[in-house]
Amino acid sequence: MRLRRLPDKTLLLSRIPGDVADALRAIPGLLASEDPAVADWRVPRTYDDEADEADWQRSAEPELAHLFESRQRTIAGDLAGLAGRPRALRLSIPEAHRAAWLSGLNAARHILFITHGLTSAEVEADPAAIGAPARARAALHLHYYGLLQEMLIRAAASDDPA
Amino acid sequence: MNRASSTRSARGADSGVDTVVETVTETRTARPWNVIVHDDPVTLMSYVTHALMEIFGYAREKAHRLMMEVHTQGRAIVWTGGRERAEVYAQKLKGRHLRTTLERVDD
Repeated sequence: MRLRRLPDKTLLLSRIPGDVADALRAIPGLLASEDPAVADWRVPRTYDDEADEADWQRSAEPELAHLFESRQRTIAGDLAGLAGRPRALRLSIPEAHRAAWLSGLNAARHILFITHGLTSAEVEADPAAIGAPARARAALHLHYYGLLQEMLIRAAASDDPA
Repeated sequence: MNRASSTRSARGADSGVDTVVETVTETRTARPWNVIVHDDPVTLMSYVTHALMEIFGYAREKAHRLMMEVHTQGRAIVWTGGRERAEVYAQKLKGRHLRTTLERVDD
């Protein structure tokens, strides 16, 4: 997989292997997960005080929910452009969408972790060492998402003025 | 989202009781709040550093130091100040799926 920055700062991912493309295509579905454990994870407590927390839930959480839905649509829209020959797929991520991708990938990693019951050790380990195929595949996708996050962060860092 | 209350009893502002109540209220309102980021087993360290740089405008070195505190201590105070701004920052951090809580600074 290669990352190239175009003159307008769009990031062009090319030579995307088929299994990575499959992992990327799974992101919108993960972000839309209605698993109760995922729902709990999306809205963790902010305050110890019950009244403060209730106020927070009322005022901030709807805005966050809107942000997450908007992010999901942005990523799904970019993925609709995933194109090219098998084993040589390309994906464009406009500069304005980078933040959505970075956070969306973080969310997707969390959701895989939660829904597959992965452990901290499994996140750090070689996915091939995980016996159960579904969990191994989830851990592999989690690694792919992390790799793409690192690529996006490096690209953002290279945008910073010296 | 500032929930500062303006407690004032019906006995009038010139009574000693009112003076005490107002002082307590103002102290509670003015006391700063800590924005705390907590560790989790999934989020990349580089992502935490990047988010702290973007949200707070911290230099890379400071963001990295705070990220390492989160990683090694389980949590770090990443900002302290007025409640309204603390809530704005908490919302931005939570928008990036970083575990964040707000705690009033102890006396």
